[in-house]
Amino acid sequence: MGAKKRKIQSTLYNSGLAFIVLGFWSAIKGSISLFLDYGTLLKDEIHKFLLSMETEFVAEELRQLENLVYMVLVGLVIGVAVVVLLFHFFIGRAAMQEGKGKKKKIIYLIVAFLYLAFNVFIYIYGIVDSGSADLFDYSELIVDLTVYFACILIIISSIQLRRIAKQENAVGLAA
Amino acid sequence: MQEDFHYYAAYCAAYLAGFDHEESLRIGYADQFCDCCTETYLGKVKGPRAAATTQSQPELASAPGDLLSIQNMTRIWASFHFLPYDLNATLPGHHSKKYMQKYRLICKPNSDQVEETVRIAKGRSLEHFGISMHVLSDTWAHTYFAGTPSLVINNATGFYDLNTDKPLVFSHNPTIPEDPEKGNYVNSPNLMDEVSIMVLGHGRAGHLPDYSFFRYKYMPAWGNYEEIVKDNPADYYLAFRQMVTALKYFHGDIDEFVRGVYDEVSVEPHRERIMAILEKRQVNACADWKAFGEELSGQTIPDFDIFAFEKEYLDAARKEDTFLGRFCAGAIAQKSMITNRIYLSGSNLAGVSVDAEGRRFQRNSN
Repeated sequence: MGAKKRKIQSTLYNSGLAFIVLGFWSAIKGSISLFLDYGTLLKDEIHKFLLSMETEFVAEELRQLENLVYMVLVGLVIGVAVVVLLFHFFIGRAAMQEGKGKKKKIIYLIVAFLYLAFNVFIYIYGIVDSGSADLFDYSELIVDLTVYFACILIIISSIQLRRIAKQENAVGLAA
Repeated sequence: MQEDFHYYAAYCAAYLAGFDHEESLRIGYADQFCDCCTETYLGKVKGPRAAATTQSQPELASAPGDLLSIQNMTRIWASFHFLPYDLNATLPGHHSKKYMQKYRLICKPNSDQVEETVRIAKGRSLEHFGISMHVLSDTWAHTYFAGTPSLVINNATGFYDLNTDKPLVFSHNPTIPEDPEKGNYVNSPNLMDEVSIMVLGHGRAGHLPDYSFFRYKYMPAWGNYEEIVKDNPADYYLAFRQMVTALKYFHGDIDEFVRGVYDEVSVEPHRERIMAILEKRQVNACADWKAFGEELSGQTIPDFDIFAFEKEYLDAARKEDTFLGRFCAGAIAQKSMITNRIYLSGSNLAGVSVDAEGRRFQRNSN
């Protein structure tokens, strides 16, 4: 039992660490596509949107407003990235602490499960909505699958550890 | 193990086994010399480099890390410091051939190899007796480590000091002096490289296996998360008793050396004294062992001097009649025997081997 428990603790710790590190990927992947691929497109869309408004702007005002809206949107994207990173950090850190033997509340597991379910739903919805899987970037998919695998390992390992702890308590009480 | 056991304790064991002061000194000297006889030293005295029984840190650091250098390392370390326990060991489940070759080099006491080590020394020189005592005693201290660089075998984590009931934290700075009172211990870093010299032998455990007072537990990489408990005082005491048994065999007092037999007659009267030395919390027990040895024999034991026999060897016309000459002959015989056994087990980790017993590279003369 001791060796099995240590093995699961090690898995939980390393999965938590991986989840934190891969959180940087999750956080920046949206931002990267925004800045590299869609940055110009976004500016064009902002320009079109402002032109479509009833208020008319002089050229200088329009330019400044475009920049302002663009900065706000970029700030929002970065904000979301930070939230995603903190999210990963919350789950990963809790997993690492539980892997080191500290008792952790079940809330982080529920959050991890919801995160996993939400992301899997988004992928499936994307396929169903578009009618094919062709729009996937497969390299991105591989990394994402790694993140989800780490999340699954966290959930399974934590549940196994809690079961073992219950058994140990039961044995302790019986003794 | 280190000088306190290899030199002074070996002297004590030899004296208790019936050897006189001078003979015991030569046995103890040869025992400790196994930790000094590098290729660099042999090159300096123009001795046979094949007789190297250890490698210095510069030699290890400059080794290119290719197959030949790994084979050279394995030949030396497995032959003299990490005698393999079971060269035909099996494990449940599937394991790669490469992994099993390394697993089979794990050192433990009371193996076929240690019996053969003692057997081939019988009737030879005092120097060869000393070499065999070094090999025998290291099987106790270096248990569960292998004499080949391997992360999957020699890596270790989760060190816990059972004496102080605290987890052990290592530093990787070799300039920090080790201090049991302050809990300062040094080990080699984990470079995540399978064949790094950092995972040769017990580097990841630092000097813990060589301190006779340590009781600790840890998880070796090969153990699948099982914890190993090491009780160095108990192991060292058994090593000492087994050394006396082997030395009595060399002395002719017993007919056969059988593993698992530990002398009681000569050692038991000194049990309390020996255990006090072994359990004393100090990184160097030379002074205590030396005092014990001098009490036993009534003679002064000189400090170990690596250059003590160098001039004799350099000036001699017949090298084989010198201390170093006889030491080299014994070392070559030991290395050949173990390398041959590793080779015959199907492993190429120690390279190809020729049995020196048949070829007789050098004649021994006592």
